[in-house]
Amino acid sequence: MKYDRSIGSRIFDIFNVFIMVLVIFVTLYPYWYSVIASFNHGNDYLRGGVNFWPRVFTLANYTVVFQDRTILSAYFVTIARTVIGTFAHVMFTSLFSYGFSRKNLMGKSFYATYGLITMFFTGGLIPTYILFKNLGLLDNFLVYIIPPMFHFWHVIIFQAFFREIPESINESAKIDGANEYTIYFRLILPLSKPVIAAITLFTAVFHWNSFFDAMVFTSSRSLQTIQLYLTRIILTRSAATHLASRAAEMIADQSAVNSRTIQAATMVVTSLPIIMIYPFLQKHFVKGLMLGSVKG
Amino acid sequence: MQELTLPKKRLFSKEKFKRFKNQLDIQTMVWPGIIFLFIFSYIPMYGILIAFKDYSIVSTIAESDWVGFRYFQQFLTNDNFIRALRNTLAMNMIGLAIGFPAPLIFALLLNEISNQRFKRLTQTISYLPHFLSWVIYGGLLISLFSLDTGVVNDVLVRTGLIERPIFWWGEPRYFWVLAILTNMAKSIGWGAILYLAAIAGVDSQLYEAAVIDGASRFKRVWHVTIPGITGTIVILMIFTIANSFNYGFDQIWILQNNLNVSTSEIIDTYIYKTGLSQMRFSYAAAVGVSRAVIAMILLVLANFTSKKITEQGLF
Amino acid sequence: MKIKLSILIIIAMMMAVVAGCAPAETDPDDPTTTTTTAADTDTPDDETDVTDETTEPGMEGPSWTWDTSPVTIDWYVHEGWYDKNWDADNVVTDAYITELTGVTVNVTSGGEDERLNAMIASDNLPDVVTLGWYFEQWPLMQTSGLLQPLMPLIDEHAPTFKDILPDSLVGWFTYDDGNLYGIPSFFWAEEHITEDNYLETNDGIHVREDIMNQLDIRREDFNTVEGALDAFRAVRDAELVYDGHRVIPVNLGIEGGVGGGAIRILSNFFGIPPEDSEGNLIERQYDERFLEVLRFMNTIYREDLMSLDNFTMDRSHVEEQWASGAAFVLIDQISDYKAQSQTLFNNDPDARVIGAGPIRLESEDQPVHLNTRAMSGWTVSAIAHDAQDVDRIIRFFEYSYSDEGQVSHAYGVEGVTYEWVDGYIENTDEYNQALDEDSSAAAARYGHNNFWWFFNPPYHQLITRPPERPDSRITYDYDRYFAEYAFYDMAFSDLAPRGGTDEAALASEIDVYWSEQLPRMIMANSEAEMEAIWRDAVDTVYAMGYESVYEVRNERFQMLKDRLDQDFAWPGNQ
Repeated sequence: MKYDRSIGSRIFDIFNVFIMVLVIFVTLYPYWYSVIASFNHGNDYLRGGVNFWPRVFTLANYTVVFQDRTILSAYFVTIARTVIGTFAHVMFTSLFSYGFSRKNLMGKSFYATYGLITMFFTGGLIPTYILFKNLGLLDNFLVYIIPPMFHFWHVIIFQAFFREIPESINESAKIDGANEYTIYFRLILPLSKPVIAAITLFTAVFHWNSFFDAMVFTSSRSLQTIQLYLTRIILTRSAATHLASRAAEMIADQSAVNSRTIQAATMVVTSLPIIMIYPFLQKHFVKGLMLGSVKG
Repeated sequence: MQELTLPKKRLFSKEKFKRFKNQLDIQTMVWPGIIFLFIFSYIPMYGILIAFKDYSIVSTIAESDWVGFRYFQQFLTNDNFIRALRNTLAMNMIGLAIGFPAPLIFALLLNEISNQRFKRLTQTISYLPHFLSWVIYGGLLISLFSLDTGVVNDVLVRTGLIERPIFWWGEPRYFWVLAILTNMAKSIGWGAILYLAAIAGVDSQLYEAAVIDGASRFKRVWHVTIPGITGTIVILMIFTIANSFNYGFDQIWILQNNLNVSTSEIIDTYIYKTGLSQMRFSYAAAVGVSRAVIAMILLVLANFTSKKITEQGLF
Repeated sequence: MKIKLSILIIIAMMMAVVAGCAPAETDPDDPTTTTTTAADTDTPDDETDVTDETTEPGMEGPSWTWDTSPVTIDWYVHEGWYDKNWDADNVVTDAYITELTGVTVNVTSGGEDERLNAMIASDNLPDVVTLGWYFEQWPLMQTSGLLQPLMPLIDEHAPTFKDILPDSLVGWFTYDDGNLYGIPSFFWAEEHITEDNYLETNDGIHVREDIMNQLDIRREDFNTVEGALDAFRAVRDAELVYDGHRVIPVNLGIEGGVGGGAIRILSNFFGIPPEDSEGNLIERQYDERFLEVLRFMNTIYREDLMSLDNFTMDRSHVEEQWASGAAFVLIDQISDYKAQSQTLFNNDPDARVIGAGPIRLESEDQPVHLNTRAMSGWTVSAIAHDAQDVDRIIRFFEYSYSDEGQVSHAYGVEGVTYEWVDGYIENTDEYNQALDEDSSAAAARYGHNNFWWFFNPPYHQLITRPPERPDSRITYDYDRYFAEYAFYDMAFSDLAPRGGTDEAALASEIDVYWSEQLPRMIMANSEAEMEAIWRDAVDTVYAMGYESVYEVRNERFQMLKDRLDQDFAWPGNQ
């Protein structure tokens, strides 16, 4: 793409970079602040004034977070649910959305109303719990995969993209004798990378971060997710601030950690892996992908 | 929703059936989702009845006594609820004016950055705060904006922008704007993702054509990018409007205190304080059901209006 | 949620005492350690009394010894942070108890109310449920038919449990239908409180000794309102800076005391009675005499003796401020800031926090009475109606409540982690060494002090020594400083209207309204304005229908006094 070299355009570029630097500062600082808190001595942190760099460096907060070997199984469960759950969600929802986005779909307004209602009206937790009990989903890994497999909000986003795809693609494929399934898998999916990347990201982050389902619907330690594990640590530690001696038993230098610095360490440990996947998905947002597929 | 062009003679006319048979492939794409929603959304929906009953967890919903609209009446006549309603609505309105366009503008500006590395870096960093919990983020904000020791007051006083430190969290009049701006700062990058994806989906031939036509940068954005993502903007706008009576609990719970409560009480914090801790399931359910009904109505209205103005709607 | 926290603090208190069991000699010179002289009379030999009794032929000793075949109990603890994992293969204490009783506990836990509600609503409770008695779910569970009455189980399967279960405990926890459904933890049974015990209070003030010395402020200055205010003024005028922080004369605790701590503490200090001469409950904030409390706080505000940020801080900020030494006096629940006082002290041994006062009104000459730290207990443990092996469960309850169980759950295995010295528990050398090497490994390996669900505080108070570590010692000292004022306040412990009733709804509306008005009173520009706001607020509260709430509370209060066989609950009336 060529760039405009006019003076106005250059002024705009400078202004734009300035805005971006401002956004970087405003969004980076809180995260950075948490990172330094996680590396700072807890006792020292309480005295305030730790703003840009750890004042008394320690790894004690991370030692506490990683002290228990069940963290490995919790990571495994979370990774498994994130990978399987995201894949299942994206496939199931996008296929539905493609069918739903077809203009000639009979009963479309019924399906739309039917779906929209589920976005606003829920029966609440207790009926859901009873349903899961009857379906055998309680304390079962599938409770992480099946209930979040479909959400109508993502249908709306998907179909908004699908409907922008020129109808001519579909028509030319039909002439070649393809049915809609073939068209979807062969043509539509490859053309929809930006939206698939976005929904994949949303879903993966949802799976990675969710702990409520683990807390309410499972009880086995083997099904514990990383978020639940770390939520427990934070709660245990803030309880431990009060249970002074218990903290004393857990680590030699009890003053090296407190619930706030542990919370910060926990935040880093839980968010870093999922943040890492962003750059991989990000490239799909950056460039247009419709290029040359069909003459619109 | 424009497919029903055939005149309705009989429910199952021959043509209809034939048309239906011809589109079995797309119908079978849709059915699993419909069945899914029936099981996981519609079956538990009997829980809505709680709003009209006197429910307690030790009896079943069927056993509980009907009370009709008693709980609806109760909250609608409560002054504190009305106050919470006003604040929720006001914050959503301001949010619509300031918070809503921010990620869109950010996405458009980001797209104009020519250095790919800088662009990606900015984008990655901007979504970091999404991963901070409100407990951490809010705690930091309270310190930064505090009266005696806050950095914000310090800087403002030193630069002469204000004479005396401002009691940011204690004066009710600052709360709405502070809450919305801080929420915006936390969510701007995350909110921009959909727009960026939409921008990426715009046919690049259109840009090439625009360049050949000699369109300026601004004109390219205005005539190519924005029309290309109107569908996404409209959808997000419609849902923002539909959710006018919802505002996130976590943020407000952290930032609220007894001095600013007159402007910081929202429906969710009100319910939490007066309802959930005492297990008033029916009361909370009544508020929830009302909110859902209003959201549906707003959704239909917003969708209708949008179709009139932009010729774009949800579907 | 407030009560939950304050009860957590009880454990802190108890456990801090446990932590003090360093391998050091007794400290007979210390006058505050009344327990040193005490426990000789109450040595663990007592437990043999129980085991001597035989109830049925062939079944000698306490019932938990009758059958020690392996059994597993599914046990849900309604505390989200609780992470105990019973592991009889690797953990010393668990192995010992499993070997002794045959019981393996399969612990699950969660703190979400939604989960407990769903478990109740769907009749999906595990064998045993442990939860705070003050949760709204507890009365509901007792009416639901989901729990088993314990007394018939005890009669049938664990008759010896009756010998050790105090009547006052049974009386207090027996539900309206005449059944006992749960065994409590951290409950102070009247029968167990000896002369050598002391009641604990959470009402007190924290004062910085170093600043007192610096400005020539004496402890006695805090005995009167004017004296205390003068001390605060002296700090304000001195414009002290400590470790880079400007020192604030007074911190009123969470949200300017609106969280409840400072208000209750000052009401107690100023001798505002919670019960009238007829024996009726007085809600002090609506009583004329409450104006004295407001006047004190308002003076602090008007004379610039506090920071306005105090009203907008959350708990962690108050803690941070206290730990950084940026305040002279803190008026809030004393045990909430132990860790912070210790932090301060560990950074600067001069910055000791001590107790002072109680601050008294000049006009008042009656003795001061302070509330205890939730003597009515923390959790209850109950058995589900469809539990398996109920005989073994109730016997395990007996074991855990017995002195022997108390000691094993709290201190581990005799000769391995602890030993008896002069009637006191002390860590073994082996255990201390393990702690020194790697304390978290030691905690994981020995695994005691994490099953508190039958904890009996007065007993533990008698068998543990005051802490030796200097930082624990200072917090122990100011705890003891106020302890002498504590009174037996059980009758005040459970007055809230039952959840789901109209009164409960109204009570919380009133609380919300009042908590918004309080800062306005404290921040009034003059005493007259303060009083006007207070009168207006009291009128509004009455207009909201407060009387019906009062009736329910007073009724409950009278009912509890009946249960305790008291005519008056407030020592000033007794």
